[in-house]
Amino acid sequence: MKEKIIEVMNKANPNIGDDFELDLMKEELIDSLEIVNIVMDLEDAFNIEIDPELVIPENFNTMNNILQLIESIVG
Amino acid sequence: MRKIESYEKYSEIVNLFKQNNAHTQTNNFFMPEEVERFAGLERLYYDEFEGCLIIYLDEESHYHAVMYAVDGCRPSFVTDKPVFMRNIYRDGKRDKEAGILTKVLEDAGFVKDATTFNVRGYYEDVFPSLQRIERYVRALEKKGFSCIYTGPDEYSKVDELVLASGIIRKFHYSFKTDEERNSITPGCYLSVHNRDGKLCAANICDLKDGKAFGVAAAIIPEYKLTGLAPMLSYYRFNWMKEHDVQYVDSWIAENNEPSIKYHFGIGYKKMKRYADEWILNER
Repeated sequence: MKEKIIEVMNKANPNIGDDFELDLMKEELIDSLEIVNIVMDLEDAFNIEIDPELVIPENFNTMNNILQLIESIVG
Repeated sequence: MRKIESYEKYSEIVNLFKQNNAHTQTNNFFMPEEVERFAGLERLYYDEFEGCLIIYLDEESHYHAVMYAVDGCRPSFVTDKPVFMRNIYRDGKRDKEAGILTKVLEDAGFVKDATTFNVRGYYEDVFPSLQRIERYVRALEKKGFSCIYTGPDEYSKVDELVLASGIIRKFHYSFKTDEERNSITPGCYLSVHNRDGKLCAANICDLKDGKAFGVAAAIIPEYKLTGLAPMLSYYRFNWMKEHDVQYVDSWIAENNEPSIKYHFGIGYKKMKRYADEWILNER
């Protein structure tokens, strides 16, 4: 799962790398357009649907939080 | 300050000044139809000094001024309201194209507020990248977000939202009479509401002669980074298609990294035009 997340994130911005603790908002590595693209790519990669209400900065500010979000949806 | 009553009077003043002063520099980009309209609304004034002609457009809260100047002139500016001025120049030619004007403004006490540059979003470049997010736009709509053409009764609310965001300042707004506001092309103001009808985001542009000029887009803080900005862009470019608009021009402050990244991310191109923005007597 982690590898897939790294792949999706680096497709949106190759500067993100593989640090799951990195604060993506603080480092200005993702903006609103990239979040939308990331959401759609994660949906495709994991065959899930991410509720737009879950698309909030707190769920996307680190890859760890994205991982937790995906795990909570996948179950 | 003396009032300019008509376009003919304006032409006479400008032409006479240019005849009497060789090597003038100007930042005057008023179009004839604008001059005619502003003169008709009694919003256009001028002051003349040795080597300098200043034209003021009264924007209620401030003046938007333009000038013609020769090297070394020392004009006086009005002091009853802030004065806003823009010097536009091409890539790398600030000294040559805006040099004299810059010196006049500095000597008069103007403070440089920002340097902006021109970006342009061609429909054919930008729309494909926005089509990709259509699925997400539909998901937002299923959750109760709706992007609508703002009605005239909500223009002020949208203006307030945009100004409160700090993305643009009052100096970037052109004052409009009630009649002008009522004749704005539907869709120039776009707004996003949530399922409770709360205004969450907005986008404003002007439409003139088949060309769109992006004024600003703003999202209220609690909805930032939730995809509403791309949703607005998606609707803006659909609106452009409906109105046969080929491109939208915008100006972005050089230090506004998020906005620069966003615009280039969806396919806007950087044009080789810059504008220094100067303000006098800001309180």
